[in-house]
Amino acid sequence: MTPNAEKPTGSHLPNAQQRQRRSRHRRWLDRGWHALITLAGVSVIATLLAIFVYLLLEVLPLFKPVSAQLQPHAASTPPPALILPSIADDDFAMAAAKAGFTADFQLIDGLKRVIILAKRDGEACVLLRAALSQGCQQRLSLTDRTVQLTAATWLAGQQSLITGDSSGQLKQWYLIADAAGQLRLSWVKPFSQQAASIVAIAAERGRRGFAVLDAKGGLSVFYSALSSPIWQAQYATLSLAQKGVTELRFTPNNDGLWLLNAQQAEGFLAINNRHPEISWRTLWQKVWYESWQQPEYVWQSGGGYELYQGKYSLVPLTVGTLKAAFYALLVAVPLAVLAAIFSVCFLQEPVRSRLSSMIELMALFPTVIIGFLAAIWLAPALEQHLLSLLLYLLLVPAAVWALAYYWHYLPRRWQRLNSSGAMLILMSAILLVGAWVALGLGSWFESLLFDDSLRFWLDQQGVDYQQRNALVIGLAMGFAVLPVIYTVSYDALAQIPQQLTAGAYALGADQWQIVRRIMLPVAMPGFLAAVMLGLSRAIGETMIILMATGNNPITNFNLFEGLRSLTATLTIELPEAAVDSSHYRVLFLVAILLFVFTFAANTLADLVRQRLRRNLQRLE
Amino acid sequence: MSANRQPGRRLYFFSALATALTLLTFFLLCLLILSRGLRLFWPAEVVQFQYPISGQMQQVFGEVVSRQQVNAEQLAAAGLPSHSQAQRVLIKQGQTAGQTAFRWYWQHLSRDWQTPAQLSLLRHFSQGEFYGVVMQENATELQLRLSDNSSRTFLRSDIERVISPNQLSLWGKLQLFAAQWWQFLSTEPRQANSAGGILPAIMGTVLSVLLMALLVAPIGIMAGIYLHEYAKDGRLVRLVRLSVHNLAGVPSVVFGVFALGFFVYVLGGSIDQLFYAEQLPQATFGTPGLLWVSLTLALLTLPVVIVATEEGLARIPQSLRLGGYALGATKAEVLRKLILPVAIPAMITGVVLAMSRAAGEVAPLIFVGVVKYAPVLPLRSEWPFVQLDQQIMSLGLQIYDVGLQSSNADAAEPRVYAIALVLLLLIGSLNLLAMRLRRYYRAKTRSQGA
Repeated sequence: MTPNAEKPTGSHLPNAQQRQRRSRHRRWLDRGWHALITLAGVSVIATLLAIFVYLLLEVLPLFKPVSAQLQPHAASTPPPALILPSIADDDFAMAAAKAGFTADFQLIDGLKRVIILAKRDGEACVLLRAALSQGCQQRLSLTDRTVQLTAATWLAGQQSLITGDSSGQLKQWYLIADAAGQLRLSWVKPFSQQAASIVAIAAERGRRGFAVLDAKGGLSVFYSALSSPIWQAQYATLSLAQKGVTELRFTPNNDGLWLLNAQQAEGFLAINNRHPEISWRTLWQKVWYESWQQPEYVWQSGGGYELYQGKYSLVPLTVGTLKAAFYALLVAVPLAVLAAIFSVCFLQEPVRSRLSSMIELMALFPTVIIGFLAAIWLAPALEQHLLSLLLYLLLVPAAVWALAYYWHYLPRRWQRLNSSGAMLILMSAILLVGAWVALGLGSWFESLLFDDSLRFWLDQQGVDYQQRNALVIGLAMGFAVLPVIYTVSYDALAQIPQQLTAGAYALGADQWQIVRRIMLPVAMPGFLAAVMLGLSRAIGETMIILMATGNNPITNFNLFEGLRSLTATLTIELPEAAVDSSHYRVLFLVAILLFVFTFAANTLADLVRQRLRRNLQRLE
Repeated sequence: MSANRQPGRRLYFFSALATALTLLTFFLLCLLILSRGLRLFWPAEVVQFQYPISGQMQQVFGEVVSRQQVNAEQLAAAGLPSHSQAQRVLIKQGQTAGQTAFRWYWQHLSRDWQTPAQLSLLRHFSQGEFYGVVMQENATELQLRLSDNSSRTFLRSDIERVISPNQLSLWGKLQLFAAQWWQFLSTEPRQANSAGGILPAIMGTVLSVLLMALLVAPIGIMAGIYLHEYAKDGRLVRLVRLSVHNLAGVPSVVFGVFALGFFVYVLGGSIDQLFYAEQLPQATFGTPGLLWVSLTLALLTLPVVIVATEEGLARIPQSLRLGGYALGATKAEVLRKLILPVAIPAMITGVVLAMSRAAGEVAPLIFVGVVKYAPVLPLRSEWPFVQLDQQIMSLGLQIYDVGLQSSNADAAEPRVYAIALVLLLLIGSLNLLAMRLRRYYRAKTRSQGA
């Protein structure tokens, strides 16, 4: 502050001009701060919300309908047809002749294991290379009696056959090994009926789709897992005159379809059909895949070779996730809620807050450590001492029940334990002694009743006991979600205003009546929110499930079998999925499912809690 | 005693039981990790005994790892004469001619157990461990007699350490224990993570978490201030606040999926095309690396910091603000000069909590740059000192990988307990710090409010 000449000497206050400059400066600073913080805040919030949008953008192409556009005069020339082994250059021909079968259609698979001969009237004969001299292994009719077979082709991979007949019917046939291990051609399913006789069928390269042309000019694209066409049009709408197209042929990467007339290109259809294997039906319903005996829910994403058909059913993964969450909550909810009731209703202040902060500390246990302990320490121990665990679950509650029943017979001095944390020490002692007794009794019972090992006995009874099973997950993940449920329940109980309970005491109610008639009903929404939060944690839990289950995508709720969850699938498969492939996008869909479910559960729980808090505040 | 008091007492006892079970499990788990983790570097007794191998009594040197009771049925399955019960012993016998490093022996078949003082354990840099008796040693070489009486000569420079645990006093054992821990914490892993130290994993975890804190602290705190001080309290803001809070509950693996798709492929790919075009198709940032790890962690913990900031601001008494305004301060001045100095500890608590959460995170990081083995530290001697595009190791992934995917499970398992102990101590100390800060802050705001 340099003194100014115009200023009266002696005063160090700023003059008017300085004051004005300074207040302008302050105003600018204020606005600058406002802008900066608003910008940061809004952009962060926008980013967090954009996560969902980005995930959605990655998934949407999966469900984009197929589109196709006709380009009558395409610049390039059609690719050569796939060269499949022909019948003439092999001793199959001899066998065919020997079988007395003059065929109109001949199909041989790439490995030349099987040949299928068919006549126009639909009669077909299956020849196996391993048993050529025996003639036809299987005779069957590929069409209904009065209609003619007009087209037949292998799908990519040559495990299944598509036939079309003069009535416009399309059928799929699989080569499946029967009970005796013999390959047989069996009818699997019809596709939706076409308007007229089938003229040509073309299989896609490398995946199980095909295109069909009928005599009236109807053109359809199918995917083998779905019975209705995924794209359909008439020649007329495609503005192409009917010039006697007799053959269809896909481009090598399936993005175009040539319409041919005796090797002469009549037109070219540009098709945008990136992910035909994904639809709500294949994701959530049973699908009959090639070389499977019946329709199943299957998740089998990886494949060693190019022609592998990815099987993406989300059912086994969802069931696995729910199974793990269910058993975890079964363990965690009673323990956490009881512990919260104990802390709020029965403990005095210094012990109470110490206890609650201790249990909150448990939430910080990294799940990767819990998963490791569950897999390496708990799973083998449980396998060995399964019976002891069952005995423990009977013994300890029985002992505590008895203790509660006979408590008032104990000397007065002991009964005073009631109101302090000393009870916890007594209970811990009971738990430890109980564990020791259960271990001893367990091995004794095992040698007495189950030939020394319950595990072997279960095997003999036909129960499949896997070492890393849902029981292990239930215990380990129960431990992981317990703190969340405890904290929320504790908050709900602790919020209950004092005058409610004090009033009840004044009216002569005892502890049990207060807990049951007042505290539990009032805090019930809080418990509900706690369970919901626990569920969302259990569903989002990754490392424990990844480490302590076999990661086997099976669809059941068996306690002794493993499972595979949505989260573990993401962790295992995403690093290996090719960018923008169907597999990659399905995994993003899995992420969205997880996101939406946990977000919704959390929001719901939050709203319930807020409402409860408002209601209780109104009481005060 | 009246009957109607009975259910109340039952509730009391069972809730006490549930609480005790919860706490007991927690303590036992901590104890398990502590005991197993510390045991790894405690010099164990080296034993020697005779055992019939293909008809002949042979000498075995090694350490007892564990003992197991085996029942008659399992004995029969192993093709042994049926005793009612037998005990088998897992011996860590190191590298021997034609046998595995860990082997089960039947207790009742072995004879002549001894713990000779001169029996030593030799740890070789590249070939593993050897048990034997030191025959000769000089400045450059050391000769060891192995259990099959053959002798082997090692170069001094290849030997990590020679220990004779049976000769050591308690003080000597303690010294050795400390030295081995230090070695574990300060060296690089060897032999596919089954030997050596975990320095790269510690550094990877610490670096990525520090970088995350640098990213998340300013942004998260500013967003928190915005939500609490600047945003108008309308329906939209309440909705936004609710969703930001609940993002903390979204599974971390979902953030990992987003990070892989958006950060690595989209953002990293664009950075490569703009700035590193000459190196393409060799990706620089378009591939998992340290930067993306830290960004993912920052995204993951952003809601934690925002929530903590908001809570801290909500605790500050309104009178402080009003007093500032009454003296003619602008909003920015009230914030900077009055509110922030009081609320800073709460914000730091949030950041520390976020760091402790990030340190234990594994699943999302597998996608974006944490790998099993990357021994080179992501550090440089010149600006910016950190190699942002390098892949790193982390303690969490080490636990997963060494624990479950290691080919040498017997050797790897004790190491995992030690790694888990280190991780737990790291997270525990961060939390202790956060708790201290919170207590300090609460005391401070209470005195201000009074």
